[in-house]
Amino acid sequence: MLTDLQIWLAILGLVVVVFATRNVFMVLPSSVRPRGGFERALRHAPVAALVALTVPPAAGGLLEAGWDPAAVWHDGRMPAALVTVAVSRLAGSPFPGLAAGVALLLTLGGTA
Amino acid sequence: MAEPEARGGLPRGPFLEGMRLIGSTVAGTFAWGVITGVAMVKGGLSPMQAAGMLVLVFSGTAQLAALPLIGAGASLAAIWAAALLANLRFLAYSAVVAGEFHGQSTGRRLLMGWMTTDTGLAAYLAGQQGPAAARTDAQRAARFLGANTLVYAGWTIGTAVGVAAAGWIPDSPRLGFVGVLAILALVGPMLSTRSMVAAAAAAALVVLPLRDWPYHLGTFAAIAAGVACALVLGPRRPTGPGRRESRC
Repeated sequence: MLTDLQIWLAILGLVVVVFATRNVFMVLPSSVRPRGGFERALRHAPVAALVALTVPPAAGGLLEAGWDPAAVWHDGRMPAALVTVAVSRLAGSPFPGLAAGVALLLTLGGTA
Repeated sequence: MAEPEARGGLPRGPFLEGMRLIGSTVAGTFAWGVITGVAMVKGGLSPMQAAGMLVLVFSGTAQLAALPLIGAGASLAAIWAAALLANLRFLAYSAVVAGEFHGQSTGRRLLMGWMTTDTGLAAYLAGQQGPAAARTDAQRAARFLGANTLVYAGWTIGTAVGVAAAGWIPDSPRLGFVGVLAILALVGPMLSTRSMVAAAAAAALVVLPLRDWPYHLGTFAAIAAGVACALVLGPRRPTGPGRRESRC
């Protein structure tokens, strides 16, 4: 069990780690910054990150139900995720997708 | 006529436009913040320590990676290493943000770096793909800060609610999944070019078999796959005002 002081030190260390990782290229000379095609490819990192963070929980029902379509449907997470992406893509705006996804999740029951 | 300026010399219109880009998805950020707040208290932090973490750390993945280790009494080095590994994707974000805002003062760029979030940066970049992209340095900076300020507000308030009401809020996968849907709602409009679709598909395919890797290393591998895919399929010239990539 950590002492109060150790927990505060852990929090201060987290602040340093988070600040440093987010600012590495802010403080390094611009000559070491990625350029050209690599820099443009890095602009795809956020969409890749958002997908990577959300696919495992969204596919949870699929993975737990063993690819049983009825169970996946009743679980609700995968259908709600697909509807959210499809509707927001078609609408070109997040809100309609979020509304449709949450409505479907609530309708199907979702995760308990 | 000169555009009205918000505090700090940034134009107010693009700042509000940045907030609009995040829009309703801040509800998902709020829900995710509530879950994290509950996890912090149930993980053994005092309300004061939880408040310090939520205001200063401002990183859900780093916090959630560190909390089990804090609860288990792990060494400080292990806790910091876990946070570092969980935050590796921010190295890539830092390169993007540094290149995008190199005209800003050092202090403001450090602030922008610290405020960078997954959803805030994604929404900003998606907004820059369209014809309504912000053009000047100040407009782009204001739009970026507007998007991330709203995320910060949603996250901080949500986490504070979670900390304050941890005793009454059950661990709810359903509440957490609203946060997942909010992120996916931001992904949808971004899938407007071949390279974005390819990057997203590559990330999805890679993260599934690697989802159980510790410290979000599978996430980092998926991001690397997405970026590699974009490097192969991406535009030959910068996207942005007047230079738009072929669209799906």
